[in-house]
Amino acid sequence: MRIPQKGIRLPILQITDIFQMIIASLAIGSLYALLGIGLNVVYSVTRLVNIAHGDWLMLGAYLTYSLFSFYQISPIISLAVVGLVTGSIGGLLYKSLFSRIVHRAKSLAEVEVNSYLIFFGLLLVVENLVTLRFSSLTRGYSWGANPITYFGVSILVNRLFTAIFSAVIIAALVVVMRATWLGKAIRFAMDDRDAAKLMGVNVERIFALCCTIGFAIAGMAGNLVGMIYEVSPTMGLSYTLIAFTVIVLAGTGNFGGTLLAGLSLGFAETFGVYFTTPALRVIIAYSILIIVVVLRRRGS
Amino acid sequence: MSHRKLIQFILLSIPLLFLATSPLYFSSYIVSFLLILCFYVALTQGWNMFSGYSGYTSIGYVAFYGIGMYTSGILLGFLPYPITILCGGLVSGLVAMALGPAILRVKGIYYLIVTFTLSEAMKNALIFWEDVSGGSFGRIIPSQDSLLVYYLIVAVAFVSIIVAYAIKNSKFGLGLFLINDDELAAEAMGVNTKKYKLIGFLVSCVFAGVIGGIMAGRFGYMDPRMIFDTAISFQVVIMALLGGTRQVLGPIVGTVLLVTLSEFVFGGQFVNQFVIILGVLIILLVIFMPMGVIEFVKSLRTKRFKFKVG
Repeated sequence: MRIPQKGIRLPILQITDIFQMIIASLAIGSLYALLGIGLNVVYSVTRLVNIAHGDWLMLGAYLTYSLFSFYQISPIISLAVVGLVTGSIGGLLYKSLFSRIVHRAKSLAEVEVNSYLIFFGLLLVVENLVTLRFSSLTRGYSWGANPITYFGVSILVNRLFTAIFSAVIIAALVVVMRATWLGKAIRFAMDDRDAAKLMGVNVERIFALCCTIGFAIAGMAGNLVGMIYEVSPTMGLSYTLIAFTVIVLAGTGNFGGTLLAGLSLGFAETFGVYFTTPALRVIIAYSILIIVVVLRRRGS
Repeated sequence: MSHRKLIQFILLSIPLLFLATSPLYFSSYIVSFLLILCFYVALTQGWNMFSGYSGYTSIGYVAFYGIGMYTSGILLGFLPYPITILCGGLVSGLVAMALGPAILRVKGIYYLIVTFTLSEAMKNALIFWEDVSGGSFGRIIPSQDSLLVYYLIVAVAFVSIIVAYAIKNSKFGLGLFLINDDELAAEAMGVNTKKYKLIGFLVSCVFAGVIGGIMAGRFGYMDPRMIFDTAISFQVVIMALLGGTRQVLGPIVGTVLLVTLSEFVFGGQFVNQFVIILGVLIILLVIFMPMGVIEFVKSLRTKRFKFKVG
């Protein structure tokens, strides 16, 4: 079966279509921003390359799914549960595995290499444990799939909720980073961990905290993703790549910029798909990633 | 020195003799196991001769294997098998030549992400491009004599070992090792890092293309999801790290250990339990023996020696 090739459809573009697409881009873009910020918290502060980021998301989605379908717990309530569970996984993993890597390494490059290999191992373990438990079939749960319409532009409740929740989380993180002592300590540890240690910052605790926050955000993003898209054990990697695209666009450690980067990726994807075909969605995202990484030339 | 060369020659020729004559007295099951073994030895050695030596860890090596396989598979209808294999290597090399200068500018995790994205993008592009991939049914291609495929894979495995050995013991290999240790210092010492990286990348990708070209004749059928399988890229990395990336022997040891484990414990399938063991293995490996099995065994020996002296 061939997918019919569609040309550019500009003539039939109406004003409500444009608004509709802008709303859709904002909803999906804020989800991408949430993904990116979770990864950014972990990577920019601890330098651990979390290539299993999408798998914590997948874990969160499956947790919500099982709570919803076996115990009828609403995804809104399980949002907190999921955040707690994946967050504590993050903290425990840092204490048990990554703490060793961070202390043993002679340079940040060594931390990066060793940590991505470990995350890679974790990715394989998590993905296959979930497959063994839930089989590799795609699943999903439906919550808030009813549209609200204002002025001829409609949005699904779950997407609206996703956008608001992402905005709140990102705003909270930015405020904590800019306005509190904790944020100051985190930024100091991000800039120079040895100097921070000498100045009396408990770097170890800050790293563990950042892992906890990052993993918790990933898990909660999984909860939100499960409302909108289908859930499968192998879904993780594509979300990891999106998260990396976002932080490469935004720059590491730039939490406010992450929102902008996520939104622009959302816009690029929505409009790109509109003018070509939906089958190209993944290819558009990957091409943006490759072009951005190669052009930014950030080195290591 | 010639004495040492002779030993190396004998060490290399015994397994070669064994592999060459094994179809005569082993069942076809053992032969196909040996084929998979040699396939992974060749692929891992090909990966290691650039990514392992220079530290530019690629987790999308399967992209170039896939290019070789598709080129060879498409040409198999109208060209003889050996020529399609060479075409596979050639096209893979040309693509590497075109992409190399761009993607070798980035390093560390960015290189990792770019290579992985590249292989995923190729997979998705082929799924989308149904004239070539044949849509969800895949593309049927004329399959070749399985014994011929076996001998070609054995040959390419040995060629890859010899090339890896030659690279390691040359000025070029020394340059790659230096790039791994400190790229800035390498440049300051007069190593033309850009040229070294591009050549290394090219050689490595041509190997992947040739191996893909040979394997095209084995299945008689191609599907993007089967060929651009991330599990192959991941396994190659794990095998090389398991053995140790700084020796020629490393990838061989790693491959033999993992392929044997996979074959005799799990029946050669990527079953979930096997992949979980792989994952745990890689975590333990990084924490307890980051230099690989061979260096670990060596360090055990020196420790015991020290203990005796002290």
